[in-house]
Amino acid sequence: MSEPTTLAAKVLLLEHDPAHYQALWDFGQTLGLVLLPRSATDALATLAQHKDLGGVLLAEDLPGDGAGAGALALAQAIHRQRPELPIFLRRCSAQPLGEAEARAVAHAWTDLDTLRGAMEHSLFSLRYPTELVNGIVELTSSAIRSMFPHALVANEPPYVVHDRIIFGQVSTLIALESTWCRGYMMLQTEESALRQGMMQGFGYEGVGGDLNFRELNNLLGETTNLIWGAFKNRYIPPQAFANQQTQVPIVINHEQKYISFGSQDPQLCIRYQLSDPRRPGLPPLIIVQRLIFNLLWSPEGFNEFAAAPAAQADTGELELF
Amino acid sequence: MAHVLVVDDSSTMRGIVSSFLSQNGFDVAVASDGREGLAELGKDPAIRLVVSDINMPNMDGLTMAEKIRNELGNKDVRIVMLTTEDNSAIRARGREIGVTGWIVKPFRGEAVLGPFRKFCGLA
Repeated sequence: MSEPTTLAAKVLLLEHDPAHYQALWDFGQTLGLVLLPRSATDALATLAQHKDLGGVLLAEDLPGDGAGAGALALAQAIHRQRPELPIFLRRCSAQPLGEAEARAVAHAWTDLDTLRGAMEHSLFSLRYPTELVNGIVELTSSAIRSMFPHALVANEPPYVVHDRIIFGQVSTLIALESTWCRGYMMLQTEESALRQGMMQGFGYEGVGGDLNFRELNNLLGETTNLIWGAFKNRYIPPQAFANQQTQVPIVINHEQKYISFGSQDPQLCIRYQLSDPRRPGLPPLIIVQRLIFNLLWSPEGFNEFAAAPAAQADTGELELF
Repeated sequence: MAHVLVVDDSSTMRGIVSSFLSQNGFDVAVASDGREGLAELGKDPAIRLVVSDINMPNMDGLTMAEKIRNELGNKDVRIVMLTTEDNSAIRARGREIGVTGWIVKPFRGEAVLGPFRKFCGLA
């Protein structure tokens, strides 16, 4: 049986009080938070720079930005800019929040036990079994290596995100359906970085033609197909091929690079770095993988399935009939 | 004249397989779905081996294989499916149709070079 993994979540920390700051820092360590400490002045800019935030910790008595705006005004500004991010407000006064302030603040707290409950409810509402996360990383790394055999492939620690912002310009989307999950997988990358990686020789010689956007789309598409195939072969038992009709609309805003699957649940996110062993100083090509189990998620079902795993295919070998 | 016909809707995959085979002495033709694959095979009798994906638009790889055996009546050409599919029911259908062999992607050229050479009379 597989235990739920402790996945990190990036959280913006807007706290000025040294004692509370230290307490939140220690708290973050125990809960698996990657805290980004900032001041009121640079809070909104940080939202733009870090699309993959999971939430915001805000002190009600945080000193303002110098323009007279207090923490509650900042909370509303954050909510306007990134409404999907839960704001955890450390209350310092007993005064009730106004209507707009209450709408912006998802959770008000005064003690860490309350904060822990709120975070577990909203940041970590889906539990991802360690065995599944490790399996996804392993099969994805293998697929990426087979498509980019001359690149060094490494993954950053997996984490959960709440944002719906698409990274880069090229992205793919494929449905994942099993007895224990239904949702989607996305791969996202930057077109220019992918082209540069291919020019450096990450891929097979002669593959990709003149590296126009269609060729690059196709390259990421085939990488997605390989990952999907490996996922299917490892994690989808034959009885899962039943007729499944339920669907929900997927909302895409091209201008904002925004995609919504109609669910507020945290998405599993893994970033892979492809670097050139001959040019270690160059920035890596980043491929972002997201798994969104918006239609069905049953870690218990996964555990039952994982307890009796199917034999894995020998990929690349010719089996003669 | 081609020894091998590579059928895949992904231009990336066609490129990976056909450039590997070309570099190793095979003459290669390509098609982007089962319908095109059938047409290519019909006009080139020198093709000894078809390497095909399964999930493709217009006509899937197993339907193409079935038509090669039954409609074209070609029992000699070797047909190898190169696919992400590892489902036993789909494999069984392939075996029933008369598919020669099965490779689960990704493609690793070195692993199949020997048998492919033999199929094409290059060994």
